[in-house]
Amino acid sequence: MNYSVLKKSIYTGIIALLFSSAANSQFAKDYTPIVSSGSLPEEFLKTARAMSIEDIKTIGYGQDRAVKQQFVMSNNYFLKDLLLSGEVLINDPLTKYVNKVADELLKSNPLLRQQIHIYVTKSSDVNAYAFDKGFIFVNVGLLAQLENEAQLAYILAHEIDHVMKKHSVTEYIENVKLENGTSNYERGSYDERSLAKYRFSKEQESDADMEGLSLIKKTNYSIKALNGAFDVLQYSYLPFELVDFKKSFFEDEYLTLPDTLFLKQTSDIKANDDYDDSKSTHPNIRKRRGAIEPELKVSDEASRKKYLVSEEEFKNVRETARFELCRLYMVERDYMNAIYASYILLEKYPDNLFLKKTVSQGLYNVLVNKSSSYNRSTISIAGNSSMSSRSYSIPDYTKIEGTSQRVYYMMDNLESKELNTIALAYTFKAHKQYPDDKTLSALTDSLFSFMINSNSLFLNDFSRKSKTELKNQDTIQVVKVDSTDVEESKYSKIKKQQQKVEVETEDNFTKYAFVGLLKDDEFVSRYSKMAKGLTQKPVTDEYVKKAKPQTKKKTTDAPFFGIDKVIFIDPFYMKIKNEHGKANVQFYESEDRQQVLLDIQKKCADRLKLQYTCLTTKDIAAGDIERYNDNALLNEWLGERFKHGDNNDELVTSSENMKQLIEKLGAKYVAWSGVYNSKGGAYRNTYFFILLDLETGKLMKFETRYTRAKDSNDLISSFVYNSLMHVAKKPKQ
Amino acid sequence: MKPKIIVFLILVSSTVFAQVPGYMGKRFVIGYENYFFPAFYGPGKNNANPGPSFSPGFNTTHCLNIDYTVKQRMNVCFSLQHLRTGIAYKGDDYAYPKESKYSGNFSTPAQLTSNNIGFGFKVFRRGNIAPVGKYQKFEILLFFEKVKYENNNFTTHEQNYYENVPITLGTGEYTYRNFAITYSLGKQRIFFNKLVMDYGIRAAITPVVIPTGLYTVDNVRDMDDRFKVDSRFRIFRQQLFNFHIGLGFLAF
Repeated sequence: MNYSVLKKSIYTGIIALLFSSAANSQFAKDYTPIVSSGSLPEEFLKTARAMSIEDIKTIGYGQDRAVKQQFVMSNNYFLKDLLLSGEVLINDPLTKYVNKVADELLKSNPLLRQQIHIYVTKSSDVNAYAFDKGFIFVNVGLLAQLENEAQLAYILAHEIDHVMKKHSVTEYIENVKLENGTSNYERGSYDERSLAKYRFSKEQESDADMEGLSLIKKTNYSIKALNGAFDVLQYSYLPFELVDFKKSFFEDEYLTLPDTLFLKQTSDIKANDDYDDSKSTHPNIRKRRGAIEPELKVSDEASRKKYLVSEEEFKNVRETARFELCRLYMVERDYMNAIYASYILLEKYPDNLFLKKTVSQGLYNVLVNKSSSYNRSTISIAGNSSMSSRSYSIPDYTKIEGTSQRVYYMMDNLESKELNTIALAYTFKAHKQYPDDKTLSALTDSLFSFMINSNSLFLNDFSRKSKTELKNQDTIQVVKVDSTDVEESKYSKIKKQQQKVEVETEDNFTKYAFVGLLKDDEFVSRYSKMAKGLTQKPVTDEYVKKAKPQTKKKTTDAPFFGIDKVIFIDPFYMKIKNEHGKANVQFYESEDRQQVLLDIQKKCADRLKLQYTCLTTKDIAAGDIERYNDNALLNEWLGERFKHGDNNDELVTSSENMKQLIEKLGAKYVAWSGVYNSKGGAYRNTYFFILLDLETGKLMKFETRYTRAKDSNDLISSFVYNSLMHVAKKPKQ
Repeated sequence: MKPKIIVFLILVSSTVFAQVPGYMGKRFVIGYENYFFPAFYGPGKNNANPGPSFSPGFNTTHCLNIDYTVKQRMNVCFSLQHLRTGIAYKGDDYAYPKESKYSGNFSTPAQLTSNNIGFGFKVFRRGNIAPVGKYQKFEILLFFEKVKYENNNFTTHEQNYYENVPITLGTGEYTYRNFAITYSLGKQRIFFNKLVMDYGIRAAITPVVIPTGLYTVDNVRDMDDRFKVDSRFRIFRQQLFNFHIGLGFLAF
C-alpha cells in the first residue's frame, strides 16, 4: 500500500468516525420526538369534496363510472382524514430522506415523480401503503426495521407500481362486481367469490413486486439486497434487533433479581414463510420471494450499491425511527415492546434520558394495570371499537418468539409489590442522573405513592443492610453463640436460623432493593413527603399503615365545572345511509356537517362566554404548521388517553409536551365532540362530548346522547349548548 | 287570578331549575298555535248540515302558548285558547215548554264560542333537550263556553197542528263550563336560533255523559239544558282529534 492510498484511507476513516460519532452524539443524551416543519403542502389544504370534484372530472363515461365516483369520494375522504390526523409527518428528516430515495428511484421519470407524494406516518406497523391519487405512506415501524436503503427503494418501487396502475380502484371495482355476481373473474358461490377477492388482490401484489423490481433494475440500487426486504416483512412481528435481555438491566449492588424471573430458554423464531395465504391480500413470503429470486440471480451487481443517497443518512434515519418507535409503542400501549426496544437502544446509548424515561413510564403503566380494577368500558361511543377503551393485560409470553420473550415473562411473573420496587429503584436512579427532568421526578413521587397506597409497602419493610452485611453479622453471632452456647436459648437459635434462611433465599429480593437508596437523603425525604401528603400528619410508618387509602373521586360527579377556557379540536361527524343492507358513508355530507358542528360549537361557546381556542385543521393555511403540530400532539394524546379508559393513573406518553401546549394556549382542558348519524328507515343520532384535563389526564365529562331524529342544526345546537353549559357554569357553592 | 298564580309558579320554578340549558340558554317560548280538523260534513262555524250550499271547512282553535323549560326534558305550558264552531239546529226536536221546531235557516248553525285556559307539561323524548325535538304533552283545559242561537226563530202549533205560531225559546245565549284532558304528540323545531315551529296531533277527552244521566239527549229540561248537551257533544267531537301547527319565538 503506497503512502497516498494509506493517507486517503486514514482520512476516510477519520471522516467516517466523525460522522458516526456525530450521529451517535445526536442520541447520546436525549431524543426529541420528530415533528413536522416548513409549510403545509397544497393537498393538505383542500377539502375532500374539492379533491373529489377534481378527480371525478377525470373519470371517463364508461360502465363503471358510478363505482369509480364512489371510490374517489371514499378514497379522498379517508385520505383527507389521514392527512389531517397528525400521524403524517411533513418536512421532517425521515420524510425528506424517503423522498430523496424516491428521487433516486424515479430519476429517469421526472413526470411520474411529480405525481408521487411520499410521507412518513407515525405508526409502529411494519408497513407502507399507497393511494391511487399518488400518495405513498411509509410507517416509522418499517423504517426502523430496514437493513439498507435499497430495501426502502424496493418497497417504494412496489408502492409506486400500485399508484401507476391504479390498483386500488381496479380492486374496488372488481370487489363490487364480485359482490354483485357480475364479475368475469369469478361468478361462483359466495365463498368462492370471497376467496376470489383475495386472489385478485394477491395478483396485484405479485404484479407490484415484479414491476417494482423492474423499476429498481433501472437504477443503480443493489438487486441482491432486495431479498432482505422479504425478511423484513417476514419477521416484522419481531423487534428491530434481537438482543439478549439480561437481568442485570434492573439490578444493582443490592437489588438482585431471582433467576426464576428469567426464562432460561426463549422460544425459537419460527421461519414459516409458506403460510396459508388463501384469505390474505398478499401472497405468502415464500411465493413472493420465489417470484423475484430468478431475477436476483441474473443481476449484475458490480455497478450496483446498497446506498445511493447516503448510508450515514439512512442509518441516522433508521435510528431516529427506532427512537420514535419506542415512543409509538408507548402511545399504542405496547409496553413490553417499548421496554424491550428501549433496552436495545440503551445498550448503545446508556445515558439517553428519553430511553430511561420510556422504561420508567413503561414499568409504571404496567404496574398500575397490574394492580387496578378500573372499569374501562366508559369511553365507548356507538359501539365503535376504534373509540372504545380496552383493558391492558400483558400479552401471553408463550406466544412471543425470540429474546424479547424474557421481558414478557418477567413482567408477567412479577407481583405488583415487586414490580413497584423495581420500577421505583430504576426511576429514582434515573432521576438522580437527570435531577432536572420533571417527568422522572414526578414518576418517582407517583411510584412512592403507589407503593404506600396500593401495595402497602413502607420503608420499614425494606432492609437497610445488605444480604452480605446480614450474613457477616450472622456469622459473627453464630461464632459468639458457639463460644458461649450455654447462654444461647432455643428460641434465639430458631430466630437466627430463620434469619439465615431469609438472607439466603431469593424470594424476598425486594427487601434488599433499597439498601443503597435508603442511604440517600433525597430518597427518604421524598418518601416522607409523599407519605405526609397522604396523611396530613407527622409521618410514621405505623400511622401511614393505619391510614385508609384515599378514595378516588368519581369524575362525573360534578355537573358544572366553571371552566373559562377550553381547547377544541376538529369534531367528528359521520353520516351513514343504510341502503340494501349496506352502510354507505355520505362523504360530502359528513365533511359539510363537520364544519356545521364547528360553527355550532363556536356559537354556543360565545353565548356562554366560554373562551374558545379551536385547533381545527378545516381552515388550515400553508403557513399553519404550528397549528398542524399542535393538533397532531393533541390527537395523539387523546388517542392514547382514550385507550386508558377510566384508569387515570396510567401515564399518557406525551404529557410532557402537553404542558408546553397548555402554557402556549393558556387552557388546560380539551373538548372533543362528534355526531354519528345513520339513516336506514329512521334516523339515529349518537352525539358525544368529552372533556379532559390535559394536565392530569382526568376525564372530566363524558356525555353521550342517542336520539331518533334527523340531525338538524337545532337538535345538535341544543346538545352542544348543554354540554358547554356544564363546562362553563360554576358549580353551586 | 288563576293565570296570575300560574305565571307566578312558572317564575318560581325558573329559579329552582336555573341550571337547565333550554335552547342556547333560552327557556321561555311564546307563540301562536292552531288546532284544526277538517269539517267535511259539518258543522263548522258557518255551515251546519251538508246540502247544496254546504262547503267543507275547518274547525279551528286558536291558541296563545307560553312554554317554559323547567327540566332538561320538560316544559311547563300555559295556554289561552279560543274556538268557535257551530251547533246544528235539530228541526222539531224542541219540546219545551211546548212541542216546537226551529224554523230558521238550518244551514246557519247556532254559534258556540269558547275561551279556554290550558295548563300542562311537555315531556321531550329521551335524548332530547327541551324545547327541541319530539314530545308528548299532557294538558288540562278549562272551557268557558258561550252558545248563541236564534231564540226567536222557533214556531209551535197551538190549536191547529198545521198553524205555526212563532215562539221565543230561551234567552238566546247560554254560558257553560267544561274541561278536557288532552294528550298530544308533537315535534318542535327551532330555526335561526329564534323561531320555534311546533306541529303534531292532539287527542282530547271531554265529559259528555254525566253518570246521573241528567244531560243525555232524551232528558233535557229546557233550552239551557238542550244547548248544554249539544255544546258538550260538539266540543267532544271537535276536540277529540286535531292536528296542530304553531309558530313562536324564544323570548329569553
